[in-house]
Amino acid sequence: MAVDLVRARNAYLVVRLRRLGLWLIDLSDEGPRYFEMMRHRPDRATIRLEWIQWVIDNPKREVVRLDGRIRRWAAIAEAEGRYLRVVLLPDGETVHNAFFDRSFVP
Amino acid sequence: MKVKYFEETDTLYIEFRAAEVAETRELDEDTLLDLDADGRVCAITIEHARERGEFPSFSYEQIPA
Repeated sequence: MAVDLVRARNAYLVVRLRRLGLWLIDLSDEGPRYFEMMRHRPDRATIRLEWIQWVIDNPKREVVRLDGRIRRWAAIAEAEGRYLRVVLLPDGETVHNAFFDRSFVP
Repeated sequence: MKVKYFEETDTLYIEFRAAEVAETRELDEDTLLDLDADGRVCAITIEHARERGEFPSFSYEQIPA
């Protein structure tokens, strides 16, 4: 299985499995600092990484901002169907933020 | 109160108090408010902070009553 080492940055590793088109985000080491800090906040700690991955892979909606950052939303069944917003940096790979967005209207 | 600036993403995070956050709400495209269950602001995240503030300078002044 072909594996691309897409980026290694501050021990933050994104690996893409080309054939399967899957992205694995290894956040066991430090990732982008803001995201890593927020992940440990109690309200964000309940957000599973697989949910973030789900949103990235199956967005209900995507918006690309003028600054190149990408916003994606998808409903998380395990979280009462609430919509999770995931913000990616312009590289399209690095997760910058993720939170349940009450204002999102599908 | 805590202020953290993340140079990597030009993100400013201001935590007014360590309260339980019930909701994250977008104020504008580059500003997120973290609210407690009573709707009080606990923290603010400002993106593209350099464009909106005079970094890296910071000043604090307490005006006596």
